[in-house]
Amino acid sequence: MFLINCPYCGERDQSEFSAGGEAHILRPKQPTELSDDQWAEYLFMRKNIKGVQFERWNHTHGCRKWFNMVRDTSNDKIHAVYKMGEKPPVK
Amino acid sequence: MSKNLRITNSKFIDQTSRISFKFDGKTLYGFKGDTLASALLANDIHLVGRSFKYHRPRGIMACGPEEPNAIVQVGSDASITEPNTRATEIELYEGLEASSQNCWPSVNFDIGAVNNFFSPLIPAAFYYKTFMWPANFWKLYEYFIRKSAGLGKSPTEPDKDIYDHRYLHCDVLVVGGGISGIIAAKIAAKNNFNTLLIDDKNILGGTTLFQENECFKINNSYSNEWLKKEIETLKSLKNLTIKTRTSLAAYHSYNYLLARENLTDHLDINEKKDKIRQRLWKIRAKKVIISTGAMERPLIFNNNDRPGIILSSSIKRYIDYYGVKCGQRISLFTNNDSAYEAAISLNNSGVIVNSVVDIRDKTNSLIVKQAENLGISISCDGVCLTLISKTNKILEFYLSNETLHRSKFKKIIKGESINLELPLKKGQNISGHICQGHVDYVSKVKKIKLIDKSYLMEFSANTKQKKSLIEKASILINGVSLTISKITKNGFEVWIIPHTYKLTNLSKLKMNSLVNIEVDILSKYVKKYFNEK
Amino acid sequence: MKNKYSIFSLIKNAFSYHENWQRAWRDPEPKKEYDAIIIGGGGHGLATAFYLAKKHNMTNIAVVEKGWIGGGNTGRNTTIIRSNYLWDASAGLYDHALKIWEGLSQELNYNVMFSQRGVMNLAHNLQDVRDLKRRTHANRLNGIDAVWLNTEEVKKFCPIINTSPDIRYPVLGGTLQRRAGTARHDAVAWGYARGADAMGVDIIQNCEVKGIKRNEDSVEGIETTKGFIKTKKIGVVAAGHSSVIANMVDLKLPLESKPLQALVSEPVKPIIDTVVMSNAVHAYVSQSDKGELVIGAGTDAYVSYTQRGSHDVVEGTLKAILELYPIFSRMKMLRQWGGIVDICPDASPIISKTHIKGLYFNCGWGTGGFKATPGSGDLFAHTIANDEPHKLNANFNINRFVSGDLVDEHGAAAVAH
Repeated sequence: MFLINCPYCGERDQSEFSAGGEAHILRPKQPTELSDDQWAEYLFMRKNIKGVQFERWNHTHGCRKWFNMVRDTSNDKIHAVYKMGEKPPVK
Repeated sequence: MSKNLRITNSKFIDQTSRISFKFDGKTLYGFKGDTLASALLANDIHLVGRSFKYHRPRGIMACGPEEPNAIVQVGSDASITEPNTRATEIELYEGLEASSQNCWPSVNFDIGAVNNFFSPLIPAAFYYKTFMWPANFWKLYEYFIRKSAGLGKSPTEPDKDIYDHRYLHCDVLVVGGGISGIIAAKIAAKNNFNTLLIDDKNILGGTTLFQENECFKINNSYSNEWLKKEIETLKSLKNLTIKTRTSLAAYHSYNYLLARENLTDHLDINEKKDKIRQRLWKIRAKKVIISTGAMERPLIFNNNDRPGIILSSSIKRYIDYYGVKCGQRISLFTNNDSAYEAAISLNNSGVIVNSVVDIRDKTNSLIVKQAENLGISISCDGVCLTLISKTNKILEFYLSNETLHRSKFKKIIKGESINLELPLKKGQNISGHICQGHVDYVSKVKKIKLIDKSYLMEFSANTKQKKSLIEKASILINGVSLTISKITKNGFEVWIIPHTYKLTNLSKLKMNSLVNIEVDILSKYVKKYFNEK
Repeated sequence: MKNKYSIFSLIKNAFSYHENWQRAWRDPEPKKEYDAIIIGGGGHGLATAFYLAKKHNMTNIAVVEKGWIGGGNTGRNTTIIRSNYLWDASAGLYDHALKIWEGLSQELNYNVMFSQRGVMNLAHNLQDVRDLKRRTHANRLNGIDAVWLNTEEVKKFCPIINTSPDIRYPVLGGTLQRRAGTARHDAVAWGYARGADAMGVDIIQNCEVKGIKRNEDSVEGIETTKGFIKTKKIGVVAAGHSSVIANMVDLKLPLESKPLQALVSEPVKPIIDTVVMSNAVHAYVSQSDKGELVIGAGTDAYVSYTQRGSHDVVEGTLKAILELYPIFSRMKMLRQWGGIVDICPDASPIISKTHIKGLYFNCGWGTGGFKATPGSGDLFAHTIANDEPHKLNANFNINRFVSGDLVDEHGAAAVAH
């Protein structure tokens, strides 16, 4: 049960949040120009990293805002949270 | 009631309020403050259930959440009955009904116990290796497997009780209200940390509550009295919340913990009504201190699962806290000092301690000396033999490799007589192990001479062994106490009077027969005394 | 040849205090080279090796396992077996497995305790009723036994279900597959391991794959914690860790690995004689032969390799269980654990070749792979041996995520994940 530091509200229980999957997957500007392979890559293929991963979360039962999180999926340690549009604080 | 094993000086049991309860349909009595386990023991009931697979008899082995054996069904009403409950954790209340599990027709006469007889055929994982032929019979086999599996019975009607859950945030959570938890909580709260102290028992203090022994004094007072004052000061602290009857159930990441608080299970049947039965606490703590103490680890010997074999720390709790004697004559088998605490407590309450069998060579700790001073029989370097079965004429014991190496049993032959000292009286249940005392070394018979109806025998001893021998001192030969008449060049001589000769296996000794020698305990101390000087 | 297991071998070994049993499988050091290597010693991996040896005569092969065999999802699932899937492709795949299950104990000479006590899926609203009825029809068209039960029939089949119309999610009916049921999960792994080993397959435990050596478009071997092992064919059956292996060859898979939890109660005498699942309230329960209630919870929504999930999910499941079975309120839960499930976007598996020659993937089983173990192993063995999929797994190729020919089984999953 994570304790998540929402960038807008502060520390809240995990049960207030929803996970939104891998972050920084850019939506193609011209989807119609993509090949089937590129579209599949965008739509379905995921890094699914065992280790430090960048992901999106939503504070569903709080401010309802989306934000980003840096989390190690091998031990669930949350390294950082940052707002949408901000650069990841760690690389 | 067959026997009352209650002593009258327990501070924790209210002997003015008697409580009636039922076990396996029989009405019994206990007192306020008892657990089901302590009340059963006070009524001299040891056999409380049957094991999962072999239906071996199961008794009370411990006194708390560590109890592996005394697991019972509570309640007979279809909506509130609860399976697989530890008798050691059920606080006694008026109207409590409990019953043995996994036995039919009764716990004393259980048909399923036949499985124990077939146990060589049904080892671990036997079911993977069989029940495959004919293939379509599996359904039938499985029907019987399922019927024999499981311990208690599920309720069959919806639960009428009310449950609750709550969130709690704290700076420091202290799990366990024994001596270390109490001190930890005190320091945390005094430093302005919002602190929560939880303990699964109905009262704080852990085992120190009844630690009233010279050897464990704190600031010159008995540790129980010292702790009592500490608990009093706890109650005045502002930042501290104390929850008793609350046990930790889970420890999730980011210090998210779940605890179950029992609110009504200890109340009388008619007081429970319309109250919340249990509350789930969802705790988020900044820091967690686990101060749960330690549980005694059972010693390994064959049949150590049988009723009547109880952890020594639990025996101490039963006598000192609940005022219950786990038996009228008790033998203790140990590899550390803690059993001596139990021995002293038992001795002080008038229970006969047959002996403390200690697998260690020797100990010098204060508590052991204290036990010695009280006259408790102690066998160091002892061997614990387990009585496996008892038929009309044969007692069957289990001997480990270690035992064989250390004692003369290595060379024993069929039909040879041994001396048995039974810690049991005729008519008593054989409820445990019979202990052979320590064996110092093995000697050979060097000479046998009949002089005027008595026998003079010479036994071998080397120079080192001879050091602990003194003329006119006692010596145990095959467990028979004799007096050394003379130290000889290669050993020592003893006189055996006709009565002794007739009653013991010494009459069977021939030249070069092997015997177990146990030298006088006093001589050991004298020897040690001079060695140290 | 292995000694056969039977009541007679039990009696014989009882005389030597069970100290002389032959090892169920060897503990070999890896050879320098194998004809094929299976990465992952779970049920699917061991079954693959078994059928490669048995049906395709490939006996110079190895199974490498990071931990111990059956220690992953094989030993962590709720052991439900059924084949009542909606789409033809899935029905073909899962019923192929179910047919093998029916003779598996005899095939392996190892009692996997396959118990056909039926699986019932409940409907709680009108949409559920329509979906389940449609699925019943689809199943029957595919030759899979399935019947629709109304509320009274549900109650008759499993009397402890609360069928009162007054609850939040009343039971409006359900489907029943009588051939479905449960099996003993550990026995499946051990039975396949013993069978494969007897035919010469090396099962190498405590051997973690650290890299895959490739020469342009084909594989050459694997780097492991026990050294380099040469091979031309690699079958990856690594479940939750499939992406970790795929990343070694810069392959991206359409997978996310999420925690899935399950729990069992303390053992009690028989109280529920079948498997009941409910998608709407997310609860399923059965009772093991040991007497424990076996309960499956849902997945957490985030990626995690920790084999533990959040308490909310378990609590939600138990609330649903109590709504359907209020009599279980006082049952105490004995153990709770998590596994890592690799989920595909269409909730169907991948049993497929890849664009790298000699590299095959069997993954994406999500929350329901156990039921397919024998079928999955058989079809994957076929795919590896022939370098071509069997017709039953042709639809489950990795390319479907490019072509769009998905096998969307979200709706037919027994519980919504």
